[in-house]
Amino acid sequence: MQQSSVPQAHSLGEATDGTRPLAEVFLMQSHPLMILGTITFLNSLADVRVVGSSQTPEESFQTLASHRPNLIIFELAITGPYGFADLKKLRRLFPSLPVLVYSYHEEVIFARRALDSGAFGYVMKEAPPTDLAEAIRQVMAGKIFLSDRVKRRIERETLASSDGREIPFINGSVVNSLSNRELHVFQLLGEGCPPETIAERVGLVPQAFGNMLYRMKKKLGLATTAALIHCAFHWAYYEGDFS
Amino acid sequence: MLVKNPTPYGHGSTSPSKTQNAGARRQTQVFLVDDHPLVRTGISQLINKEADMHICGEAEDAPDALRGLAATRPDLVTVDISLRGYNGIELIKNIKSLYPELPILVLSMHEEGVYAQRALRAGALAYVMKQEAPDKVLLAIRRILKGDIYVSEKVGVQMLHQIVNGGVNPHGSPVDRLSDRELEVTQLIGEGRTTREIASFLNVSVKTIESHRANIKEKLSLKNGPELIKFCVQWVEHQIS
Repeated sequence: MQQSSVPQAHSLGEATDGTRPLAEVFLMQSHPLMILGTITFLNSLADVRVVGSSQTPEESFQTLASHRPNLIIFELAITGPYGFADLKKLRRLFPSLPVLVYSYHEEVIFARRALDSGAFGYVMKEAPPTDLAEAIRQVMAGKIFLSDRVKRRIERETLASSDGREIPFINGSVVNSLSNRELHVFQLLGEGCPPETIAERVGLVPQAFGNMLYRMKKKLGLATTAALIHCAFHWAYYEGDFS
Repeated sequence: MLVKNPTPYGHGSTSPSKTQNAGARRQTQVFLVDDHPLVRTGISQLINKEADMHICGEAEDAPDALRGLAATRPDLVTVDISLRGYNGIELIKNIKSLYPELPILVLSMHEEGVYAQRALRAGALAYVMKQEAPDKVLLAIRRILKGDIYVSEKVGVQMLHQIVNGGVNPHGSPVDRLSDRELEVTQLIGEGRTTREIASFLNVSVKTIESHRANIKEKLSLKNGPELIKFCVQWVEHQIS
């Protein structure tokens, strides 16, 4: 998609009030209508200008340097293009270029992981567009941007971990409270191994296995087996990416 | 709901003469439903650029959409198959029952192989993936305004296969066998919700959800509860691409 096809409301090439640096943004986003809407919105801001965009990582990596952006807005899709591997590659190839994630995915699960992979901020696509504008300004000012919701979550989590408890998903050390055998079971659950096979592998009769699942749920603060499997699946699926 | 003033920006391409010439050939009034604000901006931008189309209102969820449709009486509505905030397939059915003549276009990021036929059966006339070029959206709008149906070539071929094979799609997904409601329950189980939570979310009894669970297991040949959960979790994980 060429940004030249889109009208630019007040972008004059310079920040109008002279106090804010002009953000020159390259969009790495996979949906054309989202790109169109984002360009329309960002170009309506005095201190932001979209200098280019691409729907695919391959094209982005080839062309983005020629657009001379000073900020990247990155999609972060888990199973599609623009996954964590692309985010890391982007940071490796262009270490001086800040990256802001703008994603369909739940921030409570992915925001911190995105920061761990080198992003400077995380905004959900459900959020009001003014959040995206605010995030751009913060990142341009050298700060990290997270929503209040995620910030509160991280505060609570920090308190909880000083308390000895762990909160699943967002905390990399979620599994610290599990015993070695529980960790093994957790791993197998995450790989999609059927529970009866797992019980057999770790040498437990169904009753004892049920008790173990119950203890694991309690330790991780999860109410249901579905939530436990969900958590295990996330852990198995994404942990490899961060090890 | 935001009526008549879809976005504070995005009016750049709307010429004053276009919005004011009520006497000339009437513009097609389009209402849009999507839970992502900048996708709405993108669609508005695209549609308002066409001389013969205009966005008359937009909504971010189902109740807003139904209020907005009643207030604006559009000629066409675009609906997103959201799986988080509201159920797009249910919304299509509701719109269809309230306004049987209103053409519905689905604009979705969810896999067309799974959702296109469901959307059409629910009452939509077109299904376009958000990955597609914006031109496809305009093409689909013009087709359905004429009373035609629009799907991608891939979905068209899939439907033809099904006709030839007596209703069975040889390349189909296992979830094709599930009813819309069962698919919704699959989604909710996969998000880690309990039977009780699902029952209260869908406003039905726990017994009803239990029987949905039994039917899903049966249809997908899943042996037990954990297998069902594993399937549902993996299904949810592969939704967004």
